[in-house]
Amino acid sequence: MAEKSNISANIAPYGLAIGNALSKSATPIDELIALRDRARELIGIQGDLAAAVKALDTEIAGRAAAKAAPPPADERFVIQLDGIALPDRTKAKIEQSLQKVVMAEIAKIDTGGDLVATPLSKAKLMPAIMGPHFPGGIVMGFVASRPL
Amino acid sequence: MPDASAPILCPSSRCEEGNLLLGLVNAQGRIDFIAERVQIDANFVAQAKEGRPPEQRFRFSSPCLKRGCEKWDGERCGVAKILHERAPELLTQEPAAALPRCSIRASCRWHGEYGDSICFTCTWVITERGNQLEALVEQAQSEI
Repeated sequence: MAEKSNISANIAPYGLAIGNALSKSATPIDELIALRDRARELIGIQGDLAAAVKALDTEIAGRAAAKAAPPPADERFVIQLDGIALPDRTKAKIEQSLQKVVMAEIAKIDTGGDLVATPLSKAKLMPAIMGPHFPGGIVMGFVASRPL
Repeated sequence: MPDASAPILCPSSRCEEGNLLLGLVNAQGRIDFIAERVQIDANFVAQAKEGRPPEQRFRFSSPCLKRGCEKWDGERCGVAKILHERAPELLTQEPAAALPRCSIRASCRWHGEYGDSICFTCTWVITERGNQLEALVEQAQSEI
């Protein structure tokens, strides 16, 4: 038994050692068994290495994307007029016009972010996540924030 | 306390007049959410449709149609279900991360079904991905 262990410990289980052992009909069965046991032992030590590498890939991609994201930001547009009193109708018109300009500019934004590989896109979870199309909600402001 | 009479909202809808603008797709492929509700009008829709499809560049919200939507699986939103099931294996949830600010959380279909955990996944959802680049990369890889 001790002899078997010595053989298995001293011979690399892959490549030449196994190839040579298999190619010779004179190779003792004890040596073949020892090689097999050593190979199994090494596989056992590694565990599910392929799955571990995949999990690491996913983790690294997720962290890299999270790190690359810029810090949260708010955008505010303020016009300050000191010393004059505007009629309510005029103020409403200005607010409406400002809103229109801001929305028109936002509508043109195209960061190309949909073309970037993300953890979800790599898993092919989304094309076309489309929902319904009925109106709802009210306009309340223009405060934008980035995810943390 | 959410208003019980308010409609449940779909967080991944189309660019149509009256819908809410939820957020913008940023350069990292994540969503920058607008903190307050912004309803889009015909001008916004027209302007947005002059460029690439708005659903590749923005996120919109509208009332959930349940059975009227092809993503409804009979009991719940099929999209949210897939995201909920697959997210843990795909995304790292930073324990200290705060919930993204969102204008519809209290009425959101996805949040109503899966709670805060889906909000982290939601920041990665792009309604309609532009897949031209991916297709080109895949084609180039297959030719090597």
